[in-house]
Amino acid sequence: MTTRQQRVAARGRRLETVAAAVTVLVAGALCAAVPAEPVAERDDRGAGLTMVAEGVSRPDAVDTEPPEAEPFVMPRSAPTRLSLPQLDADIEVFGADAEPDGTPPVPEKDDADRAAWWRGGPSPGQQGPALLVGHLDSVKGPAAFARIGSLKPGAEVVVEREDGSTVTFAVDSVEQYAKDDFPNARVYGPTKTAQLRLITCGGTWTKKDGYDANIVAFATIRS
Amino acid sequence: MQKMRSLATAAASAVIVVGMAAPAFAGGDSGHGGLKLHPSSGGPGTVVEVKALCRDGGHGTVASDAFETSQAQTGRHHDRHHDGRHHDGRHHDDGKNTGGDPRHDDRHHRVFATAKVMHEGLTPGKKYEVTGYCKNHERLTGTFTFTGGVGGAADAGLGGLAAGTESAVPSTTTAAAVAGGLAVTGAAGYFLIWRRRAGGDQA
Repeated sequence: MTTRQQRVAARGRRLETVAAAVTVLVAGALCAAVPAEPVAERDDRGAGLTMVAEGVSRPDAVDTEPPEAEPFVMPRSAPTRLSLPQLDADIEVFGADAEPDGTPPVPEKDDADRAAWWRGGPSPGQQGPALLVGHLDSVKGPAAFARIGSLKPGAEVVVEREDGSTVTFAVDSVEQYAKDDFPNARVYGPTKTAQLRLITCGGTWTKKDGYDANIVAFATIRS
Repeated sequence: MQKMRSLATAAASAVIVVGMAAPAFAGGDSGHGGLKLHPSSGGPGTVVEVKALCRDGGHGTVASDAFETSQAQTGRHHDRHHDGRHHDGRHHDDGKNTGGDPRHDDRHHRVFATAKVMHEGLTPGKKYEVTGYCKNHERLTGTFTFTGGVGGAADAGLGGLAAGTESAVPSTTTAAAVAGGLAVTGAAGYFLIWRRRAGGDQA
C-alpha cells in the first residue's frame, strides 16, 4: 500500500518527465524552424546580394548578327502590358521620359508594380532596342521585375501594344553589370532587329547607395 | 520624374518674359549668342533649362526644331504654349519684373524657360539652333545637341528584398538562441530537482 507522500512523489516524477519531454520537443521544433538554406546562400552571395541565375547569361547570343537581310519589324505603338510566361508575370507598362540625369525612366517608388517604357526610343516591335525598366523590389518586398534575373534563354516575352497588336520576343541572355561600369553601347546601342531590354537592379544593396548593379535581359523579336 | 514631365506642356517654342533687357547685353557674354541651355545636349524627352541675358525688360520667345514642349518661367507663373514649334515673340508681357532687378542687373543669365526635347524626328549628333528674343526683339541664339539616347544605369530597386535578407539573419539567430535556452533551462531544472529529491531520500 502506497502512502500519500509516495503518491505525491510519483506524480511529481511524472510531471518532471512530461516537462522535460516538452522542453526537448519545443527546443527541437525551434531548431527545425531555423532555415538552413539562407545561411548557405549568404555564404555564397553575401547578404543583400541579387545575382542573375546560373546559365541565363549568353553574351554570344546578343552579339550574333541577325540572319535575315530585312528583319521583321512593326510600326511604332506604345506598349501597354508585358507578359512573362516563365515567371507567370503580367505587368502593366507606361511610357515615360528619361530621368533628368539622362538615365532610363524608372517608375515612382509607390508604382513599383508597373514597368516604364522609355518613349524616347523604339517601341517594342520597332527596329532597335525598346527599353522597359522595372523595380527589382519596393521597400516592402519584390516588385515588377523581381525575377528578371532568372529568365532562361529562349523564354517568351509578350508585349501588348496600344494599337491592339501583340509582339513576342525570345530572351537571348540575361546579364549583370556594375552600375559604375555600365555598357551603354551594348544595352542602348542601335540594333538591326527589333529587340527588347528588360532592366532592373541587382548586385549588393546598401542603405546608403542602393543596389550597385543592373540586371539586363536581352530579347529579340520572334513574331 | 512626373514632376519634370509636368513642367513642359506647350509645343515647340517658349515664351520668355524677362524683366530687364539691354541691347548691349543681348549678345552678352554667353559666347553663344545670348542663350544658355542646361543641359546643352541630351536625348528625347530631356528637359532643358533655357537662360538668357536681356536687360531691357519685357518678353520674347525661344524656338527650336529640337523642342516639342516648353514653358516660360516668369517668376510668378508659367506661361504655356501648345501651338507649334515657332513663335514670333509677341505675347505674354505681364509687366512683372521677372528678370530685371537692378541689383542683379549684371551679366548673369536668368532662367526664363524650360523646354522638352522632341521624342521623334531628330538626328542624333546634330546641333539644333535655339532662338530667343528680348522685348526689343533683339535676337538671341544658342544650340542644343541631340544625343539620341539615354545612358547610364537605372536606379530600379528600393531594397525591400535585400533588407528582408538582412533581417532574416537575426530572426534565425533568435530562434536558435531561444531553443538553446529552453533546452539548457530544462536540463538545469531537472538536475536541481533530481539533486533535491536525492538529498530528501537520503535524509
